[in-house]
Amino acid sequence: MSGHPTGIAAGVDVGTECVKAIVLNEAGRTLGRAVLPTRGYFQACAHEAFMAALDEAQLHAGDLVGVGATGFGMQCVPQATRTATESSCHALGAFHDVGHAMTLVNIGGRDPHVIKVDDAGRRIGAHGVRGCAVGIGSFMMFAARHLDVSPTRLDELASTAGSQAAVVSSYCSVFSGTEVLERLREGATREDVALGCMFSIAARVFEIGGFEAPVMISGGVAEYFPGVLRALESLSGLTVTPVPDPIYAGARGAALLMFREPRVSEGSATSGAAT
Amino acid sequence: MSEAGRAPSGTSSGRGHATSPRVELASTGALRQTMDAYYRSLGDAAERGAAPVAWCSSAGPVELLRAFGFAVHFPENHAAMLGASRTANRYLPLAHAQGYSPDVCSYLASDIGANLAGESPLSAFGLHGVPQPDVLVFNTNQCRDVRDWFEWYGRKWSVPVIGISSPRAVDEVTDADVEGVARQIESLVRPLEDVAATRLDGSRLAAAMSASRDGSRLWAACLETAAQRPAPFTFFDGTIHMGPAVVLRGTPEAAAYYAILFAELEQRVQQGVAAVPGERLRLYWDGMPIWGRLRALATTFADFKTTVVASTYCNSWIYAELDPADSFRSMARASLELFIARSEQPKERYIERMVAFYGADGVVFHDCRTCSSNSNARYGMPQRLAERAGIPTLVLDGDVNDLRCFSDDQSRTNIEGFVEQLTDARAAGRERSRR
Amino acid sequence: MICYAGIDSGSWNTKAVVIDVDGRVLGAAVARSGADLAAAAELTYAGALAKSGRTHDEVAAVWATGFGRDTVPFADGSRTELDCHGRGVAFYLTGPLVIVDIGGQDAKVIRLDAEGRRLSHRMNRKCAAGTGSFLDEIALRLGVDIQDLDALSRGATEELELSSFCTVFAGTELLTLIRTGKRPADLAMAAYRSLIKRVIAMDVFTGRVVATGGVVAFHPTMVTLLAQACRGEVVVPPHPQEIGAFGAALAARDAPASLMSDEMADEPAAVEDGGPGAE
Repeated sequence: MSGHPTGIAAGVDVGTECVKAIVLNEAGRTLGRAVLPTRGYFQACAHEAFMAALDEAQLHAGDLVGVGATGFGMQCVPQATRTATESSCHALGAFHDVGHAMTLVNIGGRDPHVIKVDDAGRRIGAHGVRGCAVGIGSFMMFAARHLDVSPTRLDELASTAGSQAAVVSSYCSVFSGTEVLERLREGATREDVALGCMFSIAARVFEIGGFEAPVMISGGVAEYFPGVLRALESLSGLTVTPVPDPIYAGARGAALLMFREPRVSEGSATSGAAT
Repeated sequence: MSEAGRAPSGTSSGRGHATSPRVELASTGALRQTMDAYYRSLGDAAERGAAPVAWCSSAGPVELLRAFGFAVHFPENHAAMLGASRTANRYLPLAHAQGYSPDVCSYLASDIGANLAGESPLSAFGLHGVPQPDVLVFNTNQCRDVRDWFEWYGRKWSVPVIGISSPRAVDEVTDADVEGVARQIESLVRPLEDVAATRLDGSRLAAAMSASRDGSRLWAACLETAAQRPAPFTFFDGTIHMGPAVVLRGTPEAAAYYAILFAELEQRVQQGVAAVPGERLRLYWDGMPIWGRLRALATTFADFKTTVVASTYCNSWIYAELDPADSFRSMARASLELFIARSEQPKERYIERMVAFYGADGVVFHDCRTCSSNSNARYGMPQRLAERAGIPTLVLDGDVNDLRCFSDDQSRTNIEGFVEQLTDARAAGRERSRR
Repeated sequence: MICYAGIDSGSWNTKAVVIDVDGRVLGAAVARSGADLAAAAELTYAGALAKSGRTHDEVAAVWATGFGRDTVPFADGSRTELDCHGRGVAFYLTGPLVIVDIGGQDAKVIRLDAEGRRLSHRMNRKCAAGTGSFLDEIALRLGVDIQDLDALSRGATEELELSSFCTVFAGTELLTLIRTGKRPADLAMAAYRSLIKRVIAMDVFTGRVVATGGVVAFHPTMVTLLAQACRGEVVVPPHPQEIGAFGAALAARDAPASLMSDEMADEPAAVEDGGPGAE
């Protein structure tokens, strides 16, 4: 497989909210991709996403130089030839697209990180959020439920808010859910509350520290809730730019890694060779 | 500490009551003048070189600093201003991003955050920020965080940070404890002489001691008027009017202000004026204020015709036993005897005495998330008081400055539920006595 | 025929109950609270009335309780849910009692004395919030309908531990277990056990323990686990989900007495409108 002439690889990012799979050629062009919600057994979700991305690329597993896996469930990708941490993959994926050193903010379902990326695309440091503010994705779920909208519509709602965001500030995802209702009870509009939720997430991420220009952002939150970017910009006073297709950044990095190091030599945690 | 009557009116949350049922004090005008003059004197010292500037923790050896002629800035007062103006939550993330955990004192973190943002509420008094110190002086009798807080500024401006490492959780204060702390205070004299470029003048120290004692006695008398029924003065009033007791401790201005306040409170007592009209229940508060919700909480309690009569907090600035003839030892004893510096047992006995003195129907404990030193609900004290002394208790989760640790709705329901319980219990008691 | 109504406007669901003068439940209704609490209150009240076969004109008084107790436009009075749960339970059971109410967003423990009067209450600490909503999330994660979670848990064979106090952390722990391929039945049971552990830490459970709330109504496994944890029997009163609304209806019925106790006519009233500062 390593000698395959066409130079095509896949990456699978098994997150706590979504599984992302992507198939790339060596130039980094996307040939196929898929995103699915993470529900029930991770193996089944990962397999489904992987097969859907291959389908779209009209390729077979045997056409790949390797399959990189990353994310919370990276050990649950049966086809993986190696695994790599989320922050390394996001660093690599983002660097491939922008080509310079950066502060990369990755906000996904559970565990946001601020990642320092050097001018070779290497992760030179990464800091996570304080324990008590981990539930970024689940907070959005609570908020959306209380606002009676689909989570993916929260951003649309926020973008039509007045100038005044309603304050939703609790550390705790669960209490923030109640806070959403409190603000509504006091007469805040759903739009203002949705905007408040964006600010709440941005504040927790900003507290991680280490924001230095240029700041790029990747992950599902950047994809679905761009309001968070605007909130981060107002907190940091810096321009915050999303990488292209931010939700796929991790999967893209995992795939790109295959062109560098398709396997790890030491006893890998993955469940064996590619098909 | 206080925002000197400048607490913002209205509330960003709560249930939109049109008017506050509380009765405001006329002395507030004099309070504002007193505090204004103090803040402006800080500006004169720091920005026009009128005097050397010292920073002092609120329970630190300020009388000594007065004797040297320092203008004294109290970071805790400054942090309380950030909390009361509800700007603290803007600044906290800046300090957290510098590595100060959200679990440590939110006074520390919001104050450092405000400094990083280059902002200060003192700009309303013509200052360009906090007054830059020549020396920072702490006393760890209240917590370790004051020292960590001061060290940040010490590093920033390369100025000396000195102070007293006091024993905490003190049971009965012993002569040995007093002797140890007295020697530490005494050992501050030399470095302070170096900074102030003057020798310690014993008569000025004695004058500061007397002023501190006189102000303390009057402040204590003001607080104690709340033992009357109805109470003319509440804990919430106390948190505003304690400003001079904190920032002007050891000056004649403090006593001058408390003479005015005391006269008004005396008049209220004579005329039967209630701070909370229609007072039905009386509660005692343990712990720190929730600065950003001061007005909202005062209104909530007043809505329920409940007076929070007094607290373990406002009493922390009473140094009535200072002795000008034995300065170092009496300062040491006063700092060791403070409520916050004591162990569970004396604290528990103290609260029990205060409940009896103020005729309180129950105790509200504020479990302050980022201040364990000031949170007495964490080692079973509410349960012990309820079981042993039959004192009903309520615990509110909150924080001094970080409003992310406070839930408006849960607190309101907790308070309303407690009021219902106490009201029903009293009605049942009357029912029984009628039968 | 005269009757009374109670509305429990919760953060997750709104409940309405109509009773007769003897406290018999004539009708009840439940609906999602959603973003408009007043609308949900109207809706459930109309639903409960329809089931009771009575008309609005026959309702002598409506009292409200719960998170939105001050937003029910047609309520004649309100009491906290702490009070109404106690009242509702005390109607059926004699004290002393320890009532554990497990709702969508919070849990509370209410102690009543032998005469049904409240001695104390505890609400969950912030870090142990989110009970019903936690189960919703777990069901979502396991890919099962929330109604099927209880049945699923009955097939548990392996004892798994979710040790976190925080429901968000517990959710992450659960994901970790899913990742290692643990069985959904065992995970469902682990989720219930983790909730009970949080509840048990709120107070000392001695004497007669009563469980109420929507979670108890739909997840009987929670009652079994609670009984094991308390080493005794746990009683579930009739209509546990609507017990707060029922208590509010009782408060409406008993309103004259309640108001009188509220007035506290004796004691310090004499001086209340004295001096110049008074409003």
